[in-house]
Amino acid sequence: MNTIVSLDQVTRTYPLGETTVQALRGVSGEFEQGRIHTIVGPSGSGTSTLLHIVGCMDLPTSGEVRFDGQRLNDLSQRDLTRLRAEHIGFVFQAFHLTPILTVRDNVALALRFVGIPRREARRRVAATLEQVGLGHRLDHRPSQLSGGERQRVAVARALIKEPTLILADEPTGNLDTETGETVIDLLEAINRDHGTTVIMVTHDADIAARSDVVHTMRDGRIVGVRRLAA
Amino acid sequence: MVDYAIQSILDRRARSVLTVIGVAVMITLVIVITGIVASQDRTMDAHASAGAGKLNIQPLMAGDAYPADGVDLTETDADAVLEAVSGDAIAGRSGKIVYFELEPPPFPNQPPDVMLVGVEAGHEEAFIASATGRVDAVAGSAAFSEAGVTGSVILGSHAAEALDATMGARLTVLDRSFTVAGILTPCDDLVVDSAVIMPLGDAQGLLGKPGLVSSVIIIPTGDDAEMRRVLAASFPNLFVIDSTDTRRTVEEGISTFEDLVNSIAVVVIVCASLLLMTVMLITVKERTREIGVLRAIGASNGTIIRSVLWEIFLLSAVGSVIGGVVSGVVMQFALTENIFDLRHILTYMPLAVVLTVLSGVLPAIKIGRILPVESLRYE
Repeated sequence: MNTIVSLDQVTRTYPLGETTVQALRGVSGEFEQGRIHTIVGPSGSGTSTLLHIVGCMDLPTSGEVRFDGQRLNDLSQRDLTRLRAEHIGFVFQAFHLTPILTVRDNVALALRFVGIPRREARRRVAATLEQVGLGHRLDHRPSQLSGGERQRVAVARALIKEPTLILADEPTGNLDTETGETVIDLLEAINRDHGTTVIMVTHDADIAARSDVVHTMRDGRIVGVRRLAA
Repeated sequence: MVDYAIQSILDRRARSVLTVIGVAVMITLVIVITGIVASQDRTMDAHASAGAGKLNIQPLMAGDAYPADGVDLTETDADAVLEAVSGDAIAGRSGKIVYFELEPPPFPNQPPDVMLVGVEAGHEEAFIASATGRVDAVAGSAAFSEAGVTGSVILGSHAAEALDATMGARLTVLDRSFTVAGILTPCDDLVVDSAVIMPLGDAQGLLGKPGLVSSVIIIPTGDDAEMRRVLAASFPNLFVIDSTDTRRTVEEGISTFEDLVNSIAVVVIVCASLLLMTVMLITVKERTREIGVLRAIGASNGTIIRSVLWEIFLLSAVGSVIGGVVSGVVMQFALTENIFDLRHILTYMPLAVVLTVLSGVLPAIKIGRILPVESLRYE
């Protein structure tokens, strides 16, 4: 199977007040395309930092990151933004929907940055929201939705551009168990139906158990990779 | 991202309204202040033009001050000047004049607010006329030969208003009572407009200056520059001024006022721009996480910057229109004089929009430079 993301001795250091934090200390690993990957580890182990670097939202201090064979270290901010716009969808723990926009416009936002015409965008938004079970909430604002519904809107926003990769940073962290499982069901369906690679950070062992590959992190390093599915 | 900017404005209604009000107030102040200066400019320009073709011959010590007050020449010298030009002056439009300031001018180097002017009966037009026309009376008479040689005054339009005098009323000037025999129509010549005109003898008696005058006025039939040269050569002890000198004196007089007012306008613009920049910096700071999410899902630096600039542009455009309307109302109805000038308003409105948008460039660029993950970490 192809590798969608690879890392080679990636470090990430950043200042925090008068000290320096070493969030990643030489991470190396690969993420296979078409799989559901989870990254697990205690708080402060660098799980979210790793996700941000894989998602081109942050830059490594040293080491090499490749996305679909392309070396990300060589790309400008503009190119990285373009890559995110076209190939990577994000789902955040806190949903991060734009409160001033409706559900429809929140999801459509992802298409605006890749130049999809307005009419086509509207068609795709309606279809995607149907897919996540929110076809009846198009004109609602995020404040009018439950936590689970907001997260499903976030998933729709990530999905609508048909990305190569979806990155989810503790997508069920702010949800109850039942609602959280609904969201994971949705991500599994996306992976199954579209072949989209999913990389998820989670503290939930049950969620990790549903993935194909579990990457364990501790103190800024990947200390173990466990394959749960062939 | 225009619709995004509009939605952002509507969502932060209170702040948007206050920003629009701030921009509107700034524009109103700047337009009204500069409008007052422009109006003053036009008035002074008209005043200088009103004296076209008129020569004032006055003592050398008076220099180019017009009207000359406080320095006299003898009637003998004045008669000599009149004799020298008798064939070249427009009939009835030359004569001896006495000036005395009754109320000081509002600004330095400007004509007095009210001025006593003594003219020879039958030669009133030397004072109230120019090469191109004369001022008529809106009430009563514009000449003493009709109204009576002594004990009467003819008032300029502004003088009548300042002294609250009406046709036929008794008016006390320097402790002596006069009858208002005429009130002139408003005119561009501010000296005429501010004049309390009386017979020369009455003026000389009031001022205790028998046989003395302030200047001689001549309106030549031909080229006034040529006559000026002849007079200057023939009477080296006298100073000859024409409308060019008057214009220069007027411009010097109002330049200090203009500089002050323009400085105030600049300060208003700078303060408003800084305030708007501060508001936008705070707004951008508050929206750091929102912007981080936009960057995460693929919005470029340029998209973010354009979104912020659109927001500023829309707020300043609305404020500019409101300010333009309010300033028009103020200029037309709220000042002592209607100084409404649409061209003036339309010049400053887009300028204000440009300046306020420029004040938002720094906040917009600042937020565009933050990495997405830094924005998302922002609490």
